[in-house]
Formats: sequence, structure tokens, C-alpha cells
Amino acid sequence: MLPDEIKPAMHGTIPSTIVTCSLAGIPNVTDISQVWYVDETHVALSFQFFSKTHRNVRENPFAEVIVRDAQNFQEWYLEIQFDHSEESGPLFDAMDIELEAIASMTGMSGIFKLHAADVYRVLSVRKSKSRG
Amino acid sequence: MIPERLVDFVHGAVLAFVGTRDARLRPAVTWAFGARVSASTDEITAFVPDVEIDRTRSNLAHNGVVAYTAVGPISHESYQFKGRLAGMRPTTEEERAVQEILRSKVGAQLAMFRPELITGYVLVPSTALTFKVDQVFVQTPGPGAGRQLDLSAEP
Repeated sequence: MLPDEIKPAMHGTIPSTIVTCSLAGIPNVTDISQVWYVDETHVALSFQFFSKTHRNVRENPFAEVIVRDAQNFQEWYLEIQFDHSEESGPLFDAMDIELEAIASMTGMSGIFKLHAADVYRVLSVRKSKSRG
Repeated sequence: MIPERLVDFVHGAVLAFVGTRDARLRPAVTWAFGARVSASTDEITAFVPDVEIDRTRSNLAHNGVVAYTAVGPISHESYQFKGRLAGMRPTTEEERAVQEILRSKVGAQLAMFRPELITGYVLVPSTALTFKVDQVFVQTPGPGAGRQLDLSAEP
């Protein structure tokens, strides 16, 4: 489902944006540092803080994210569904290293800390029309 | 009442996003470019480009629940405003001018990227989406993230 051309949009150069929704029906929008390409049908998001986003997807697993390619500025919209969380292993280690790099580049060293790699199933993907 | 410092923040060089949800609680996000705050009525009018407004418009027609997040692209300072839709209409000429001023302000902040990052966004036509703010949350990364602001405690 995820095309190869989306991969540059998952390097964390430009922050991504996620919306989730509580069971009470209140949406929550925030920037996220990492949307990691796992395979053609899965992405992983960095779980860094015990945030509203974290709580929402545990009670309502659906979310939508915008990822951005820093080379051509193309945006992509992904509808995703929370699947599981990984607190160790190769995926966690790879995301941890990249998060450190993102933190050092954005002045967030000591603030960004990876608690887990949250893996989501991709339900749909499309190119944004935001750039015509 | 929305504090003056947040009015200034929203009127400054920020990027912004609007979150909504449908009847099945499936969330949707789109971006807003430019906004005006009415502190006296606790209302924000966000300018949402029509190229990506369809799901937002449909969701708001269904339930009116809005989350609006503004982010400083360099400072990472960020606040989320939650509330209910008060109205939607096409943007005015003055509001389109506000969008172009914002385009210049954000472009200057993001000078490390090629100008097309900001100049490439399609802003016309846009819809002015007005909502009444009930709650404001700090979203700046760090220990204070997620804290709800007491709107009565600040000037």
C-alpha cells in the first residue's frame, strides 16, 4: 500500500502531524517527530510522552497523520490504526537512534526520549492536494 | 478570555492544523494558514484552504467539534485550542491578505529550506472557520506538555 516514493517523507526532517480522537469524541492534534516506514502496510510512531495522543489511541485506535518530504515538500495523508507497541528490539533501536539525531538537530536533546515504537496498520494513503 | 500573549502567538509566524472527527470517531486533520483571534468573545477564525477541507467540512457539519493547534516552526512553542464551531464562510479579501503576510513571515523563519516550501501552498480559495474556544492546552514538547491553561488566571 505504501509506495516507495513516500519513504523520503519519513526521515523526520520536517515534523509530521497526527490527529487522534478520544472515546468522548474530542479530537487532539499535535506534531510528532517520527513516522517510521516499517513495511508496505505498517508505520511506527515514536511514543515519547504519556500524552493525550498516547491515551487516545489506547481507547480509540484510529488516527490520521500528515508526513512531509523535505526534498520536494510533497505531503501525504495516512489513515492508520494502532496495532501494538514495541519497547525493545531492532525497530525500537533504529527509531531511538534516529530520534536522538532529530533531537540534536532541533534543539530538543534531553527532551525527546523514546519509550516505545508504536506500530500502526496503514488503512489508506494519498498525496495531499495542498501544493496543487 | 484568551490571554493576550496567546492572541499574539496565534497572530504570529505559526503553522496550524485543524482536527475533527466523524460519527464513527474517525479523526481527520487538515492545515490552516492564518487566523484571527477575538479575545473578547473567545473565538478563533482559522483560514483553511479548500483544497483539503472536504472531510473537515463534513465532520463539522455533523458535530462541530474542533481542535486547533498552532506551532512555532523554529521554537516548537505550541498550543492547542479546543471548542465548537460557530460558523463557516469563504475568506474575505482582508483575510487573504493576512494569509499572504503569514506566508512571508513563515518563509523568513524557515529560510533554511527552499522558498517553495511555503510559496508552494495553495491558499485560494480558503474557508474561514470560526469556533468558540472552551479549553487551551500547552503542546510545547517537554514536561509541561498537555497542561490545560486556566484562561481566567491570565490577562
